[in-house]
Amino acid sequence: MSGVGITARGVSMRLPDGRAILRDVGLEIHSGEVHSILGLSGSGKTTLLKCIGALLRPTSGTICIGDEDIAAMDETALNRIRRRIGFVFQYAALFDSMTVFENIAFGIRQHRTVAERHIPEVVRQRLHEVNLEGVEEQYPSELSGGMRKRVGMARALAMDPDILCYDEPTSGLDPVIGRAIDDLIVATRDARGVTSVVVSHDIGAALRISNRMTMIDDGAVVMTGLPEEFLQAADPRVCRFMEEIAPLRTGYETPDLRSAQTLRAGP
Amino acid sequence: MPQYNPAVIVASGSRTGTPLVQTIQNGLLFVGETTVLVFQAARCIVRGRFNLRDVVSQMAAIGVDAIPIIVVTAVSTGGVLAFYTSGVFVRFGAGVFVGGTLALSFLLELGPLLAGIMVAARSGAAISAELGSMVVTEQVDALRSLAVSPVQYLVVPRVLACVLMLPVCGLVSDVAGLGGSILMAAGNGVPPAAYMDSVRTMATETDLLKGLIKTLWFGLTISAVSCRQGLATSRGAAGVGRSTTSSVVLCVVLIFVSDFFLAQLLMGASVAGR
Repeated sequence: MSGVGITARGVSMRLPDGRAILRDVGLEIHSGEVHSILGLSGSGKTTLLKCIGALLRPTSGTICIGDEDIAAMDETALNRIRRRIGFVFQYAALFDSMTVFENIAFGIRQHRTVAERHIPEVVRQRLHEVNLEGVEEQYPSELSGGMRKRVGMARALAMDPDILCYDEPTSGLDPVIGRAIDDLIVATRDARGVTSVVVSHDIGAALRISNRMTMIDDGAVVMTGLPEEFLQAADPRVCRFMEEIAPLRTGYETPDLRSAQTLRAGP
Repeated sequence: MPQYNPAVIVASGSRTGTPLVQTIQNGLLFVGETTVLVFQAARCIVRGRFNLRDVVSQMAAIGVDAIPIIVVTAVSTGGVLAFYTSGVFVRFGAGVFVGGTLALSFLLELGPLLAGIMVAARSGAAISAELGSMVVTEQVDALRSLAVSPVQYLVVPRVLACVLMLPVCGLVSDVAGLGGSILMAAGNGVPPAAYMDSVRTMATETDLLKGLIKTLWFGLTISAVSCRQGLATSRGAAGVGRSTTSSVVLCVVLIFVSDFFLAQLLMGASVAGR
């Protein structure tokens, strides 16, 4: 399994009342990299992630997963693409009427990609990958926030995706668990070679785990570049974000670029 | 046909224009989206794309679990009707017509209507609340991200269960209503034997069938409206409350309105047949 590149060109998203959520967004995400999309709340980053994850169709523009433009696909073709994309939701979005086991097995059972007798082993492996064990029979309501996010990751990994989309993976978590999730994102990239797209407003975490980053503001791309470039950026919107948001995040000191570079080293 | 996409519905929730224009827009949106949903569910059913286990599970939740409240309301309604009817009919020497009159009332009208309203209030509300809660917690998006159609996985079992179970609920309502009315009529001077004679004279199997045909439509209405309202939920817990309330209100109103037209249609067919 390996990652796949993502290219967005001229992506716009407009509501029926005329409000623009995304404006002419252009973005290139390389195969196998961790690419963070940063921005303030309401800047359109989750909408962009859902467009990349084939959950929303942009009003205009193209989004290519590999060579295939998903913005022009019908629902049947989109479902084929969705099987290659794992989506980890902000609040995990686990099926609350199902156990952890049933949640992780859900996708592979629906698509019958694995024989029923092998499913327990697949579920066990996926839980092991996210450092969770012995929770198979628990319900989502019995898990902590961090455990739910891990189960959400395990559910996404069960489909063996080429791309993993993370929507605010550390929001609502304490700094220790948040850092563990960050490490897990990098470890998953290293182990599987998947392309990872991470939406976050946590600049410290993004600097630690990202190969490249993009900042969007009011639905438009402000800057795309290496983490180091963000630290030296002259654009006032980037500077404001770096200065005002970073100190608010607890648990992340001023990013140590050397350790961050070690973490970001790709497969 | 465009795919039913809750995200589009959420986006289309905010409309512009005067309140009258907005009301018309929302009404058209409701009709259009519910129709699309029904056609998509029908296409899945025709192609056999549903899980029988899910359908049976929904049949239990939507139909079987609603039977106790249907029995209670039907027995009470039958009893009250018999109390008023038998009192007046016996006073005017028309006691032999009590059974037939009440049987026709229940088979043609009250049995199906009570079943429809009870299922709409209990199970329709539950469907909207469940789907609405799944939407606001992104569980429906999670289904789509796993390449599973929400229509196929969530809507089809509920539509099938409602359409299959409403006639059963209607039949239970008929029997319970007649049972309640026999007991009350007996206490008001109409013996059960005379009551049953009157039923056999005035009511036919066709009357029962007409009532049950109505329940098929009620089942489709309840499931389609409840699923649509649930999937169109937005804006958190308050949104779930709104969609649940609107679902029950719309279902009850549509049941009464469609009952009026179905009665005309079925009685018209009956008159033409005779």
